[in-house]
Amino acid sequence: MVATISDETITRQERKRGSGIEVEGLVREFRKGPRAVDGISLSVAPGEIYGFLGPNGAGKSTTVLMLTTLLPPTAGVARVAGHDIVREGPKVRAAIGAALQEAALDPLLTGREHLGLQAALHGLPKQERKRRGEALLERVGLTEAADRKVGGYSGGMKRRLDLALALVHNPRVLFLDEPTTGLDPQSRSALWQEVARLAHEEGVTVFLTTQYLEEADQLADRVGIIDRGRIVAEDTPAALKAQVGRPSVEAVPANPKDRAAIQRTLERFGDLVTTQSSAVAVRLSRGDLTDVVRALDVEGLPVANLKLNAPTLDDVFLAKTGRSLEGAGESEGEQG
Amino acid sequence: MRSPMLLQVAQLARRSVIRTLRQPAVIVPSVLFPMLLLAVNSGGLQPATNLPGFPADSYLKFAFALPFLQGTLFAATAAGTDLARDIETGFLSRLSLTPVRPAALLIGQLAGTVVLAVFQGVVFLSIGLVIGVTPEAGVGGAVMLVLFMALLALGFGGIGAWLALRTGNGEAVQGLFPLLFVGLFLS
Repeated sequence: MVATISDETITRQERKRGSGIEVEGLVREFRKGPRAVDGISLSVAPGEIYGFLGPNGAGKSTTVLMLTTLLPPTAGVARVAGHDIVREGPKVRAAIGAALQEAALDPLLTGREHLGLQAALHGLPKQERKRRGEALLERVGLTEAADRKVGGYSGGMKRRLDLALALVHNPRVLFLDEPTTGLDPQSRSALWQEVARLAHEEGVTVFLTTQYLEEADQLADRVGIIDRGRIVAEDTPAALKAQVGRPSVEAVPANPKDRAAIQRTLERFGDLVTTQSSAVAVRLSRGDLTDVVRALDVEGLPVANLKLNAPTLDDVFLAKTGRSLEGAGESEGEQG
Repeated sequence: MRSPMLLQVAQLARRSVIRTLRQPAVIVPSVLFPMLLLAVNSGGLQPATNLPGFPADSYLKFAFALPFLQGTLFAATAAGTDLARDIETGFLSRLSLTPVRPAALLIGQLAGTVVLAVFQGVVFLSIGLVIGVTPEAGVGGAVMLVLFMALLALGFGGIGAWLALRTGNGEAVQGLFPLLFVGLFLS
């Protein structure tokens, strides 16, 4: 019996070959400011979803602009799909698709016209342009709105069209710069599914920047956490969270006058953690949730709510930088 | 895969023309304003034709060339503003990520300007016919006049596009209009 490999498998393998990202000591300095990107090194395997997580102003978008050849690096080397971003710009651009931070669309053109223009500029033959355009419109759920001017699209529709435009020439590497910012939960979930499908079924390498912990956690195979232009942690989401250690337990007193007593009881199981509500929380260093429940029961302290919080990527960010990711970038410069 | 230069220009020109046609707020003033200015000037300055050596017996006929120049200024400012908007919104970055040649980008962008200028030329000539102002060189002269307008629009449009690329700011490009407008009277 002769083993056969389907065309789809071959295409996928061919696509994967040489479609990763290699970055070594990448730096970008702006004239009147600090280093937006300060010597980052990373590697993204072909077909992998790499989540680049960080607060506003951490250097995420600047990194994407450099890797997509739209901004020259001050120093360092990077290869995208096997091509040097400085010396082989046209080859890099031919291999990548990008949906940048703002959905850059022409409000006076329709969705279909956008796809036609993009496909033609990428050199697709006329018949292929039409076929590809229709397929992408259907894939992102914009067939019915295809002939409407983009100025009347919702934020989610614009994002979906942006993604379709990035895919028009079958790129091997896809850059998505904060693709779900401002989207409603339903649109966000649909976009996640499509990105996951692209990577896992079509073998597209995805470099995704985000400031949403949940997005990086659920979507990315590996996560790089960037802060002030430097990568402070990098691994799979599970491994990063495991580095932080044990979970915390949070109890909301049923009776506010019991708060001090509950705090004394919980302190027997670990160090206190600050909370923003009336709850009392400790990072568990001794025992587990069952022991906490037993102790509260023995002391006769009723609680309205008891919650076990597993470590999150925010805890990882906190452990690595001493600050919480949420709101960390608000007071910093807004250079991506 | 790289599309031929001509196809790139055609595609970008198509977009530019579509943009122009879908903005009545750009088309209407560019036709109306030069005609209004002509009406006001020719009404008030008709006695100037009595000056010794004045080259025409009707100020309307004398000044009819002016709307053709003013019209191109409108078109050129629109071209620069469009390009600046593309820079501001990131659309130019999107186009830059395709294998498009920079020259195709510029020529395609100016195509809408040329179409608008030709449209203006035809409208002005038609109005001229109605009010009794016709080119002395006949149909050939009229065609040349429209072609001249298209060429002028390309030139002014080039200045607008250059300024857009330098500043990346639509307001800065719009600031060019009064400057060129004053220069028009000085000429």
